[in-house]
Amino acid sequence: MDKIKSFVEGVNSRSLSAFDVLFKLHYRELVYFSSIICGSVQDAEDIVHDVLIQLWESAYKFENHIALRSFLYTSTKNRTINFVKRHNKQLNDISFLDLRDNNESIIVAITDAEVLSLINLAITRLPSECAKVMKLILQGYSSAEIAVMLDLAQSTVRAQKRRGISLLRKYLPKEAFLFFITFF
Amino acid sequence: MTGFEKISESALRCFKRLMLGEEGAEDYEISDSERRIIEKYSDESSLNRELDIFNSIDYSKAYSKFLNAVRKSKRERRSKLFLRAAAGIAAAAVIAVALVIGGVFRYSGGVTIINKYAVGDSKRVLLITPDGETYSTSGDIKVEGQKVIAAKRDLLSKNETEPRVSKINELITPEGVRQKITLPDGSVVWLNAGSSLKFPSEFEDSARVVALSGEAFFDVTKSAKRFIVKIANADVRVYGTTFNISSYSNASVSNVSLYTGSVGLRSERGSLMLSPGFYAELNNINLTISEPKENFSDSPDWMRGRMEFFSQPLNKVFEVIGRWYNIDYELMNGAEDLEVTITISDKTSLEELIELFKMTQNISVLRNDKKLIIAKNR
Repeated sequence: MDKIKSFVEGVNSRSLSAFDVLFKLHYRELVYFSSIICGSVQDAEDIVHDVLIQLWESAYKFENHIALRSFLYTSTKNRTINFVKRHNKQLNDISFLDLRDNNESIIVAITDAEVLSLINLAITRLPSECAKVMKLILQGYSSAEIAVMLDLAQSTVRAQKRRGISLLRKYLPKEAFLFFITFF
Repeated sequence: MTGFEKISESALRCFKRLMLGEEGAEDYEISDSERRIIEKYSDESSLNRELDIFNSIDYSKAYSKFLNAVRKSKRERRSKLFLRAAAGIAAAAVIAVALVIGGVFRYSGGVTIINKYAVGDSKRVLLITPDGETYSTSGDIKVEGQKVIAAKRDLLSKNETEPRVSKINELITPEGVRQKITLPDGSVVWLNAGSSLKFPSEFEDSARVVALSGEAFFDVTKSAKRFIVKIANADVRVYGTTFNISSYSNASVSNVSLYTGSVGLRSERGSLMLSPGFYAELNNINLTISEPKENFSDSPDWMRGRMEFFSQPLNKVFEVIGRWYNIDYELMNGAEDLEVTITISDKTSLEELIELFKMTQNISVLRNDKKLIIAKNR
């Protein structure tokens, strides 16, 4: 918990090491979110770069981590929408044509980015055998099927599953973010 | 945008449902959009594709780009900052003079590097401070908190190339030079040639942590605060003791030899406690730690200005010789596998060493410029 607090304080005081952590933690999900809207990861990277430079040069201070993330997403959203307008981008994906402001699709896009970021975290941070099993569970396979696919005993699969679930339970309920930061 | 907390909770719900299935899901309603996200990531090919996209986003590259941009905008403020730093150094100098004149001399913490303890050309030993200043150690250097006390001529370069974000100093010995340094807790480290030691100006409250690449002999002061040496693939944990670590980045094996006290060695693959008079090897490739082996001297050879080799292949021997004499070498015609037993003193000149090898081993040694060519005789 204190780590999160000192991270946010570091961002507030514009410390470079806190920004290093900020890039590690949030850069990819912001880019992914922006790319859902603008349709290009490359453009999204430029957009998020501008967002973070703007933050660095500003005097904004954040009360907590939620406030910081809320700012990052809002700011990314605004810049992305401006970018799309300015470049008059043709969006292929029909579901995003109604994108203007705080509508449902933006909320879904943010949720989507957050979920993907969590999945990536879980898969990269769980012990590797455990992560393999959890990834297959994620895809809806049963213990029996996983046992065959990974050439393991069913009891081993069940044990890894229990282990994965208890590890995830331990870290996730409070704040998902803790899951990552405890591994620093 | 309001309600980010709601979004975050919603993401967590999707994630739990995905990862933990029915077992992990508490009784809550899933909205339509949440269901869509869950379906998206339940599909194997779609999951893998999106994970690939996510991981192809290079955050460290993005951070470097960010640093560059920040540096440019900082440049305008630089001159002001420089004046302030100069004032700080002047103040430090006044304090140092006052200490000397007053005859007050007791161990006051801080880091000291005493020039006369260097073996070899000490001008080539470098100290890089957290501010990114680089000093050579042709004179004594003292670091106290943020302040570095050193002769002006020793300051080789200032920051400005790259803003550093750590509180870490780095002492670098080039090939052919050894240097001794006293750490903020009074512990003493002798750094062998071709090595680097990273250490903070002041230790944290929780533990004393330094990082070593290369070889060093440690004499650690006793304290309840754990002393940890980080090497490439492992941690060495100690309380107060003397020991030697050899962990060169180009060597396949690191080793830790204990002389007094006790240390623990911990890698990803296991851990072990060493008793005095024993050493252990760490295989840097598969991270396995050997059983402790007995060690018959009371300090490492290099500390006594000697290199001793007992039935060692010539490539291992030249790895060390190359570092001591600061010379490149090439082993040919199977010379690399020849086993030799030899003791070399640091008073032996390179010419004498070559003669010694020619006389005692079945090899020929050619010297051109900065390179030795060693070939097995046919």
